[in-house]
Amino acid sequence: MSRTSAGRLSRLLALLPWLNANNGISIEEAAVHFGVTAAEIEKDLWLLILCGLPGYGPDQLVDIQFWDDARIHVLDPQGLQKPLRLSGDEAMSLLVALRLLAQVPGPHDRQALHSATEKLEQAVAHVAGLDDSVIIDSGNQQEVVDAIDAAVEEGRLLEIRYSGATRDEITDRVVEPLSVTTVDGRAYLEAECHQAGAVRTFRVDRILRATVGAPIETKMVTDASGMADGVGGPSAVQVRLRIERRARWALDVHPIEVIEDHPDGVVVGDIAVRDPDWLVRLVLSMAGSVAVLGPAEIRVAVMNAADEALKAYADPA
Amino acid sequence: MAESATRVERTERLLNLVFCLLSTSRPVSRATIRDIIPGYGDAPSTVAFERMFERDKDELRSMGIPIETVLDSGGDVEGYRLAEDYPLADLTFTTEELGVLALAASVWQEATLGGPATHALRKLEAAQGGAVRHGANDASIRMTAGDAAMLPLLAALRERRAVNFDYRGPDAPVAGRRRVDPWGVVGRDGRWYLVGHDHDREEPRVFRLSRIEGAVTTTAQAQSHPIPHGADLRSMVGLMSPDLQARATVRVRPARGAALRQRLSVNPFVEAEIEVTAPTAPQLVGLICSAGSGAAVLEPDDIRSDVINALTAIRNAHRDGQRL
Repeated sequence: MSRTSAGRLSRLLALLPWLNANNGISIEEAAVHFGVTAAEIEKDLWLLILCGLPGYGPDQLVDIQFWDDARIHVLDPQGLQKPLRLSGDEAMSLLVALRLLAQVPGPHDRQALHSATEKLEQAVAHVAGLDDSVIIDSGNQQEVVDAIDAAVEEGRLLEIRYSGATRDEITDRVVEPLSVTTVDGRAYLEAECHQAGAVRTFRVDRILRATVGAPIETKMVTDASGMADGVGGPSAVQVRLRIERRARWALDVHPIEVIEDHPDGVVVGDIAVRDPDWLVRLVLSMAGSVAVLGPAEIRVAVMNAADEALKAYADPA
Repeated sequence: MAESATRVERTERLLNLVFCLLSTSRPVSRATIRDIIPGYGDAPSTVAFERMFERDKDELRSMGIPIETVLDSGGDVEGYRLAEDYPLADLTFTTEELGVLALAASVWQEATLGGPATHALRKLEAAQGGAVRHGANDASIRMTAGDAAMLPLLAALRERRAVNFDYRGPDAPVAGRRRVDPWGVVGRDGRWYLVGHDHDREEPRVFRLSRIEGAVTTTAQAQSHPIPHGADLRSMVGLMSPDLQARATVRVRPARGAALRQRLSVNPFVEAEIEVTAPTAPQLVGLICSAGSGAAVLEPDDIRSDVINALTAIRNAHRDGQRL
């Protein structure tokens, strides 16, 4: 069965009990609810009234009246007055999404989230392996998420301890939260940073500590600026890398465009780098299995960073 | 047009099969089904009917409709019926709870999990009145889960079955066949990982779903294996190989060594001597090197000399003018 018709069957099986519970609803409202056109709902209704119990006489068919006033009245659902229980995929996909919501900042109602999750877990007790088999790991600390939500809701400053994504630096900052988003499961806080005097995007999983501060009195005029990672953006510089075979996993993790893929496993590739400090740290972390081929100033930056680091070992400890 | 007419027929046949099974708690035999459900009579032969019915039954089961096979005393199939708990449990959600459920159903960017989540939401809403949804979608929370391997792996996890698939590791030139007892699927940083016991390596392994090539197949019989808890699966994805622990004592300079410091445990603005661990010595060396001049290894000697050698190699490889 094609995806479309499976989707339709699934809609039909939910439509009848929903109509039964919402007697007198209009075709338009049903169409909005199910995300289809009014014509499709009408087609569904015409199909439903052809179906029912073996014998298929007038008393055995589903009875729905919908032609008098464009309002739908279910007179006999033939046993389908309640929706069927959730399938394993349905239960898992919704529960995992609820667990993600619990881990990220946002305006959603936490109390309702908690109670809805509990009720759903009861409803899907027949599905095995829901507890531990699908896990979302946002890396966010709950206290940090709570503090961000509180600061956004109350219009207060937020004091954060941030472990920078682009350079090796831990800083304490005072920020005015502007918005929170979650992209690919990773949460970002966009905020006016008092230290930087500009808008910055912070990765929530890198905020080590957050405390709600004083109420925000005046909004500063801001320039928007960059992203939390060291890659991409309008001012990015193309850097060419040589990646040894043992470091090929880096291709999975970073947006590197492969230019040459040698038979011995060595790859030459380009990466668009917005923050050279971030790239220097990346190359150092690869312990010699990734080298910068160009541009020359980045090569020099890497050399200097390695040189600086070696000084700690040259001096007597 | 002809194709769409056939599809409607099948939808109708499946609906009638559902109504038929809903109407009785007694098993309905195949012969009865063939006789009374419109559409099955069109099958030109018993074999054709059997094939048609098997497909329909699988389709309904995959949608979560619990069709049970009932055997007679001789072990033959007597017929089919719905499991007793086929309807959704009686539940009442508040308007706020329905709002959160609708938001949850909207986070998936791809239909892989987005489709099932939407169907789940519709069923939950269908259980009660007064549930007209008004634009609950909020684009500010998004998660990706589009890997083709996702749904087969979720099914295998529920059924506790081992899986076979072709996997191309990041350093492998071609994909190799793997047989794995799945323990869990972990989403992190927008990527999905399978954690499980690798039968070929005879040890726990972590696989990235996007590197699974082709179909995931499950073995016939369920495997029994002890499954680690969720927290352990999470840390396995972080560490890749939890059994190989490398450690070193490192001196970190004030406000440096962010990646090395344990969260919140020490004041990061003072110099400190800290324990750093990683699954393998090379990973530990890379972690320490990444801190640059912010960190220096005190002991053990082998890690200390590995870090010095790595930094020296990096410095030499980047000497100006000397291209690799």
